[in-house]
Amino acid sequence: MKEFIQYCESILIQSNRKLIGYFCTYTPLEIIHAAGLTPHRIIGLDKPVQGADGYMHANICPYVRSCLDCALEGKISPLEGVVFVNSCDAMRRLYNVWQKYTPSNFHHLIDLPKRQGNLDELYLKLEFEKFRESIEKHFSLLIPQEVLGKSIALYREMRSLLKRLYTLRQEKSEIIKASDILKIMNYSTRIPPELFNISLSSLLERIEGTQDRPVSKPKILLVGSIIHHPSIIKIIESCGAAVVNDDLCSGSRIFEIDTEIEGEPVEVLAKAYLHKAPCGRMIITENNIKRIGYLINMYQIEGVIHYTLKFCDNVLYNIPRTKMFLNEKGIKSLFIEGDYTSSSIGQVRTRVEAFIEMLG
Amino acid sequence: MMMKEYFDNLVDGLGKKIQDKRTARRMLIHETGRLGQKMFDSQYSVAWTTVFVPFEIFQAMGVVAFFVEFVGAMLANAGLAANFLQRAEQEGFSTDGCSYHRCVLGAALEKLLPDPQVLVGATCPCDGGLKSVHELGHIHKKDVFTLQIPYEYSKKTVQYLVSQYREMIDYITEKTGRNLDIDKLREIIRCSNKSVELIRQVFEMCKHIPAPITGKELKNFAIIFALISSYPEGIEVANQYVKELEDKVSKNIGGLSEEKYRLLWIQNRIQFKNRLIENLEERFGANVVIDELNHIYWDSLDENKPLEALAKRQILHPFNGDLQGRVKILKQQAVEYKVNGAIHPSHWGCRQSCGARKIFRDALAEVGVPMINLDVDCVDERNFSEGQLMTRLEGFMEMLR
Repeated sequence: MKEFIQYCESILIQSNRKLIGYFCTYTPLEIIHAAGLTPHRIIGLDKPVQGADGYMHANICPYVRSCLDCALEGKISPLEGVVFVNSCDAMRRLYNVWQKYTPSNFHHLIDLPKRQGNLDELYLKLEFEKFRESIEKHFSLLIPQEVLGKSIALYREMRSLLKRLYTLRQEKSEIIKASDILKIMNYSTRIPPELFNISLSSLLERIEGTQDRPVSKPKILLVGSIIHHPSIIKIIESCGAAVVNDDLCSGSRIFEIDTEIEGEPVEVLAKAYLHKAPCGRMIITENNIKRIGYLINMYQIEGVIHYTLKFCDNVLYNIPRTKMFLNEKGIKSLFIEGDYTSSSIGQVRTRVEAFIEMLG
Repeated sequence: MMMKEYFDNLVDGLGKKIQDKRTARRMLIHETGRLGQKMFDSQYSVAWTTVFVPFEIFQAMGVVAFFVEFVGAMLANAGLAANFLQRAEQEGFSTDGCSYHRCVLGAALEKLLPDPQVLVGATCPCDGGLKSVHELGHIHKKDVFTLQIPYEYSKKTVQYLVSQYREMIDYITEKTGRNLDIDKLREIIRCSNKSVELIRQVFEMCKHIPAPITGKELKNFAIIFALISSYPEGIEVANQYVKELEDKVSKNIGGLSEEKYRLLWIQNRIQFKNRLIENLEERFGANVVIDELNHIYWDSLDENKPLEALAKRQILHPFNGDLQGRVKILKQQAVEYKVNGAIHPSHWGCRQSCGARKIFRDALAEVGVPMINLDVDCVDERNFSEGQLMTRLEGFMEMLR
């Protein structure tokens, strides 16, 4: 695992690639990749927000403000441009503020529907086409269909490997720590798939061939919005529990996207992204709850830790029904709101410790 | 039922006052009350919606539609919001969400709202509004219809929204047994066009120095008027406004006895009783001559293509799509109404507005208009500190001198 992480770090610091920054898992990475560019998910700083509060109110999503801080402080790798998705009010405003106040050449906003019917698939296809044309125009290139098809295949392979990783973590929880999973997921959003896939495939083979000494630990499902910094996961692990799966925009929602093998590429992408594992911004709360229920059953979950970012309306509005569902199912749960960073982790530790003790 | 009593009392009380003295403001609120009474009349079906939806379609189908923020504003105005906010908090809704929405959820949990047959949420203006309508659907055990408002205006996006309107019409028919009468819709649109043309004249007259009306009298005007604009009574109300203001303008009578400063109010008014506006008027001669939300941004609707016209209006709403649309209107209002300053209440939980506050400030600075951000909750008065806010406003007014 160490070697893999070192390898990923070494790829990240290479400066010969043209990076396109992005934030949301609904970004069609395949289109960026097919243009010969590298998608680079922007990860905010693990420290309290500073400058961004002068641009946006402090009651805006801390991930959004942290990313803005990165841009204002020049702490993002040099980007050729940034793509936004109209995923929520905060992200929509980040697009406006970023365009106006940061030095960046290329910006594009993809309008993602909240509905998921046939009309909306067509609309998203139009939006993805617009995005493709926007990249082609700005960078003076063409994205041929067959090249896009190849990028789709590469990302399909990456997602398949990440699914394998998640399956393995159930059986090899002492070898594959959740905090390492978080790092791997972060790398998956920043390293070209052609390099990432080979290395991850090799890692998975080595792990598959390894004997694990399973230790009985309470199995935790981590759900919510985004976790990029590992502090909360390390706390859970240090309390003697195992995070065996997640429903996060920085976790399984990255790879729970099924692209069909046949079909017009942009249409394939629109269908796949619209129907992928939903985050709270997709309007049917029942679908989010169903997914949590599925993961609980599939992985014999004993406890759910629901971590959401403060001011994340799309997830916060789901909480009463999610709590009700978990209570009815007899699953113990802990609901935490965080500020995206490790700064309030002391308070969180106490609550997590008490919760895991309760799970016995 | 409390809401029924509220509307009955409103209509009775204002009915008597109108007999004493007929004023446009009284008529506006009276007609809104009469519309509210229809929610309890079995002749009509009831819809709860988000704030910017095509009310004309509901009306043409015999459905009385109210936007959910109306309930929050109404309860705040009556000094009752805190109870319902607490109820929503007990249920687990975060106190960081918009209190308009939390208030209506608390009211629904307390069975205050008439049971809707129809629930329609649009993606504009905000996530919280749409989520709260969906939660209302869960509380009332009803399906919710979502309108996805496209970000950009084009022929294709109008068609996308028109297709959704057709789905919505089918949904309303399924839930209420009522069909869309297209001729009725055309008539309603004609009515809407007439009343809106009159209101355009009203706002044009507000550009007069001194403005013939006060900020207090203009509170929530356009968003309430939208509920009645397509009824014949809406034309009557609009006519009365025109009459009153024409009279004042012809005599050079201002809404304030001495108008020294003219202000632009951005987005939400504070809904519970407070004296901020009165203090500004009395102590500084400062008049809120225009609200951002009182801007009529659309052309006359084409009654021959009613769905397309409504779709175009909805997509082009300044709160939808690129923020530059909204910024352009704010600058235009600042210049045309010759304002000296702008007030932006950064309503707690309003991400789409609070996230843009520096952009607003810088845009207004380009036209020489200073802006103050007030950190305030427009519905929840539990943490309201009039003194502190007044101190900030005093400082702002000093700067305008």
